[in-house]
Amino acid sequence: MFWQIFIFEIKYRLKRPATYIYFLTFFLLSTICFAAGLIGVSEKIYYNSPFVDAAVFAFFSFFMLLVSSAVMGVPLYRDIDYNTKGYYLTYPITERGYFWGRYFGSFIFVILIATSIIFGVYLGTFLGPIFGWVPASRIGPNHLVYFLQPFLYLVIPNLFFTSSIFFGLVALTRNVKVIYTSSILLIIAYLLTNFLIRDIEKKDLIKILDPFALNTITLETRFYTPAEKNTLMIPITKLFLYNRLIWSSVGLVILLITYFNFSFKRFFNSDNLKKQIAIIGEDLPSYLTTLPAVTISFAGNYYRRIMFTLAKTEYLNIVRDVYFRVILLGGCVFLILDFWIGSPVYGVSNYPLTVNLMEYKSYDYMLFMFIIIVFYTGETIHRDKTTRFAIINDALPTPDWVLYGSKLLGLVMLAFVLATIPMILGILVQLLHGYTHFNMYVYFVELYAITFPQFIEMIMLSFAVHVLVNNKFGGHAVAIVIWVVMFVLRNFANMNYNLFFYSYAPNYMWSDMDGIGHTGIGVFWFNLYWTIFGYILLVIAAVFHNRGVVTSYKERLKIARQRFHGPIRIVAAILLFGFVVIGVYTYYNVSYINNYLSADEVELRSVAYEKTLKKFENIDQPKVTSLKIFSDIYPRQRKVIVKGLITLVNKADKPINTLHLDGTGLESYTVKYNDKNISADYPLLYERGKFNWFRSKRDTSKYRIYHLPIPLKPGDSAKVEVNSVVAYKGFTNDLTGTDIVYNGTFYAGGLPSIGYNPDNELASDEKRKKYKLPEKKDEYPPQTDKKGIETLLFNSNADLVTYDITVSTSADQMAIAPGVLDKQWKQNGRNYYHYVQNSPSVDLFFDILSARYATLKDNVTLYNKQQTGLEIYYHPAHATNLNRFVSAYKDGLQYYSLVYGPFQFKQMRLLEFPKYRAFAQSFPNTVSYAEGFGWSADFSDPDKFDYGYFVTAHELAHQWWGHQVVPNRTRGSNLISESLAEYTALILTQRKYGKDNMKRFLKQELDDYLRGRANETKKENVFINCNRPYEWYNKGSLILYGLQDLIGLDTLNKALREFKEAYAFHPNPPFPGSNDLYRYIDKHVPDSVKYYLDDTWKKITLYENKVLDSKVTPTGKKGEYKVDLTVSTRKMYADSAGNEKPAPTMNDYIDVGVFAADSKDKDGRTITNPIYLKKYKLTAGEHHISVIVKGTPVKAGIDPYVKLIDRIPDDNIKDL
Amino acid sequence: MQLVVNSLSKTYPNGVQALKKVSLTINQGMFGLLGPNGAGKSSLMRTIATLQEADEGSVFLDDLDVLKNKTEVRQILGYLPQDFGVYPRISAEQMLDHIAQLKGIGKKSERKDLVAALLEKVNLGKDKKKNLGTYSGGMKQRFGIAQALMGNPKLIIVDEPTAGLDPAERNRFYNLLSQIGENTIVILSTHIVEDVRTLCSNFAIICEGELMYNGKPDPSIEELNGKIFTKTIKKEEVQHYKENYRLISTQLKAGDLNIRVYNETDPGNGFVPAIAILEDVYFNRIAEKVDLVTL
Repeated sequence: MFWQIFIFEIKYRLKRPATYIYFLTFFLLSTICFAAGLIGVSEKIYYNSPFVDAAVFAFFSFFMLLVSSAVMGVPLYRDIDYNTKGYYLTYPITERGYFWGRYFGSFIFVILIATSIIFGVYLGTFLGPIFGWVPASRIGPNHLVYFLQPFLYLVIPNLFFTSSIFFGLVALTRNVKVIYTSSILLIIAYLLTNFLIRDIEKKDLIKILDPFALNTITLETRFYTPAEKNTLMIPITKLFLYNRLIWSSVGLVILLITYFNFSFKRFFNSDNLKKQIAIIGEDLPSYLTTLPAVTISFAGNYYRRIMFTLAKTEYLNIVRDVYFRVILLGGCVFLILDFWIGSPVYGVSNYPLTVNLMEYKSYDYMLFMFIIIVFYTGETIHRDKTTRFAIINDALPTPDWVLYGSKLLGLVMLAFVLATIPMILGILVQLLHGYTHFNMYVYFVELYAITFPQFIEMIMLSFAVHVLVNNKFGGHAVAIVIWVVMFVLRNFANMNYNLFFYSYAPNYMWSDMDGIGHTGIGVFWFNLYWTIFGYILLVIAAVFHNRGVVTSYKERLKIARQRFHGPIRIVAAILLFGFVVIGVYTYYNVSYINNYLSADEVELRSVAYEKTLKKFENIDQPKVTSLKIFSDIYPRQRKVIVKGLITLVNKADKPINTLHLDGTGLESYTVKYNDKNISADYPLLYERGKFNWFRSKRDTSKYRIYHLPIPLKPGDSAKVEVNSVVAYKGFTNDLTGTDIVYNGTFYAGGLPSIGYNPDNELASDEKRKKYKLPEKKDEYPPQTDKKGIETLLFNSNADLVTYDITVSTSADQMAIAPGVLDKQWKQNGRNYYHYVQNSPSVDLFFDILSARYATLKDNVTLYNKQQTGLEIYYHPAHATNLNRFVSAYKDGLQYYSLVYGPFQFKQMRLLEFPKYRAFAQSFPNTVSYAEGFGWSADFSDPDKFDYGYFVTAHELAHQWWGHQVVPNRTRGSNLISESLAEYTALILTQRKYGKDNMKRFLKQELDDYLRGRANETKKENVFINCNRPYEWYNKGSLILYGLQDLIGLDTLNKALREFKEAYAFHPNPPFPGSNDLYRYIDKHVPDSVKYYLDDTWKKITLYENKVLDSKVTPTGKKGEYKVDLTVSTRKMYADSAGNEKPAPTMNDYIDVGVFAADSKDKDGRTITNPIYLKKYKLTAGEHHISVIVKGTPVKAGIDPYVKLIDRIPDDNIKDL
Repeated sequence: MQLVVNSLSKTYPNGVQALKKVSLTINQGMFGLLGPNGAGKSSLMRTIATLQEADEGSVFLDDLDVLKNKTEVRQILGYLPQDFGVYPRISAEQMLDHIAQLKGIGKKSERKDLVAALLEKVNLGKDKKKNLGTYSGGMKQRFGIAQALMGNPKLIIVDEPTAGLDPAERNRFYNLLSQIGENTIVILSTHIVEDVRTLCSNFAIICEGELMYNGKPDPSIEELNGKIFTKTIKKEEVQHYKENYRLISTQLKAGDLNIRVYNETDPGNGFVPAIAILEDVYFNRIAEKVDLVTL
């Protein structure tokens, strides 16, 4: 019996077109993914590496739950649906055969459809290189086992799990609709859970509980280096294996429960077979009566009233739909969570500022809304057709415009409600946070002037598509294809010219300081442009709107021609005219004024820059020694006029004939050399941007070679006057020009730079190969490079200099530049400031800011009685966390000046700038934080990372490491600036929180380091040659912290101080590199610890420390316990690609500790309580360690504070 | 009031010619449309009901150009299509009220009375609160009738309205229709030939898009009187008779075949004269287009 039903099921499935459509869909998706390289992994990872295969298989098999719901939902339901149950049951079939036959007959197709991924991936890896979509070097070997292993362990169990759920649901509920709802719910719930577990520390639990194992494989391979990702298959052991077993068993249990509950009687015995009683008796009175008289009139505004009534019906039809409610609910849940959590920095959320909420809205909510709008626009248009009521409805006297208008109006009502929801939920979340600064202006402008029109644009496109296609599924398909094509072109083909992408507008950003600022202008014009286009679509749709039975396109065309007359013609003409006018204006702004370049063109320009100008890289250029600037800021016009008087000195040993200036980014600049105009060559001409047809054919780069009238002899100096303008006109295709804004200008001087800058070259190996540029292994030359040693890292144009800056701004704003404020005055209704920085000389690295600031002034007396002023310039509404910044400044200035030497400036400033750009930066005597950084963070949880304090400590440390000791421009030198600053911040934090509470900070550094190297796109250098932020911040601070733990804080500080004394304030070369710092440290490291210095600076070293076993026995004495630990340790050396080898020998110092329960201090902060902590010298392998402790031990471990670099720090500690 | 269909033609994209230069004049009263499946009845009715474009020809309701002034026609139209759907999650009462509104009945109280009366008329009074989705085929059909009669239509087009109705309901509907149809034009299509005779003052026969006959039922039967003959033959002989006579219908009875033929005079040969019925008119008219041997 099983076989007959099984075979029947298979034959049935083979005939269904859906089977092939599903197969083809996933086949094409996976082919395209691999052929076009649409997989986001770093450049050194093969697209078809076993890691990628597994991740992609897991991902696709998750989304295939849509297939399993569609396939597994029907086999049982079919007999109810087609009413075949009436006779099918009369055949001699068994329940068992029926149930299992139908199940396996369908499940086998789910699996067969899933094999499409294997074929797709395989084909994709072949097509990609053939068509040149991906470089052949990105395709690794295709071993069959790379496909089969994940198919067996990921795809089949996942599909079995979902198939069993959906089969079971239909069997139990006898309703096929429930599975569509539940499949959507399952996807939403799963995505939601993934979202919620982002910050969960218990990664092991996640590894087990993820039913689709997506997180399991991500977590298992989190710290795999590119080399490992390319060669290792994810081992099916431990948690991964348990996960698979658990979820397959859950599937099996569901299936068995379903089977034992299944009976023909219950399943088919439907209760809606109630007898329909025919009422035959004639009802004489009603039969004879005439119908009551009614007045019929269509006069006046009757139709308009009808339209509103109908619109309301349309609207209600949508909002009463179960699926609508499910999707909306999903959107709202995500919206609340996004609002609640936001975008935490170091795990700390911001207060729910309205400007932030409006940004979080686009994380998830907008996607749900997009789905609702695209889908329900189609539903609304086809509702009458779907129910076949249209044939009656279309013959009713309602005019076309009422029918058409009511549908549109209903959708507009929907869009309005969907646009309002973020405001309601936003205010709710703000209230729950106890935050009451509702910025209603931001809510209204964002939701009703930007979001609402965008929704309307989506509606208009879908509406037109559905009307024109005139078939529900065809319409959905065409609409989705349009959106997907646009999405793919923008995201994977580097196209973003918004004039060609329906409903797209430039990015914009809300800021508390600057409102929507200038970024709103482009949004407005593009929205207007696309809205008018949408109206044109509506006119086309209105003309082709289908009523009654229309048989051919010819006939539709005929009707359309009939309809296209009179007012509609005029409307169409006006719209078309408006569209062209707005389009021309937008084009003028984007392409003509602002010279739009595509991402590819930008790349090509940097290729042209390198190919044309590289020859000038090593020519001698004079250096700036002093700088006098007059700068006038016009915030409303977004313009800065700069006059720079520069003293240049030839510090080279040969005469200099030419001056190379690069004014990229400036609107214009002119140069006078010793008060005379001099002639210039323009060596670099770019191709005109491909959309900028009305600009000149060649785009002259602002790189100029000025010919000096008399060669500048070695040691001679010259005066150069530069007049330049930085200005932004009109609007651009994307969010740009964020340095000069209405409130919160923050720009880097506005002067041209000197000479060729290798930082402008393309870095990616893949791209360099593509453009036939020579391989570039390292950005900086070796530490012995003479020119490198003679050049400063942050600005090659100058050694240490003095500034004299006069800056003016509008009357309502305050302008700040580095240096002492010498004078301040008002003139012509503008504010003027004169800043002087002449003692000491500093590196040429400054910015000028202008905004409506509130000011906090404080001062601190240092140990040497030196008075230092503290100034914080901030947005008036952002005063919450100022005390954290101030206390970091005070603690830091005291401590750093004590251990590293005196602070060099009279004042230390902290400034806020708008959140268009997100970073923190330390200039001489000034630190700047973006608006989103700490100013409005919610630090109320004392266990959260107080990054306001930590990062301020880091930036302050740069005043010593970076501005007193300025690194040279050689390989690894940036560690002098960043590693020392980050290490210094760790030490300051340790002084505040105590030695035993450092794990939180160390683990943050460790995680960032491991994640950084796992995503390496080129190669990881050894630390002394470090080339990546994850090395100079995270690894650097960690290994220096580890070093002071071994040799003592004071010893390391002594070494650092000696290094500083040797190199601080060097006005002339040689400048220090990483090898110089190493030398100073090396001097203070005893022989017993030399291995550590060598391991951390000259090798890439990783430990594998873990607790294998632990036992606690009371010794009999009160409160005394014996703790037996079995630990294992191993040391590995990695090469630059991430291949590891065990260290040949090992006998290293490693902490072993036993801990009592955590407690809380008076601020509520969690305190670690070690009852035993000692360094052991351990060789590779297992070790048994027994210790006697006083106090109740609750956990113990090896290297418990993660001072060593360990790929799996979670297993270092075990609960006892 | 008079509906004039003039030389109406329609060809579908698949090549089927649904209407071939059909011309008809329809006066007030009931007008029946007869024809086999796919003859073009529904196409004709849909065209008059403003739901379909014609390739050629015109339709005028007095001075009103039906093909151009659709909204005006719809304001006086009552239409019951052959196959239609309903919104499943709404009650008959609500739905009729909605339709009444669309038909221009602005007053709520009037709508309420009218909807109640109509539902009584079609015998749905007891089920008016039920959702349309729960209706049986017959109930749905009656709902369709109710909506078609709503709002004093001057032109009523009903496409096979009695399909799915039991005989009692059918009678009830026809009575209702006659009652309303006195001062209106009612166009009715049906497969039940006898119904046309009892109900319609005029009728037309359409086959393969062509108008085969147009006239009154009784005179049309009159024309055939004395020209219809019947005979019982063996099944195997039917081919012979088909070739030699104008065979208009066959009926199998206890293994033998009862045939009816049209002949100007008595053919003899065992044929007996029969009393002509409307069905003979129908079959006779369509005989040249359709093979009527239904074995």
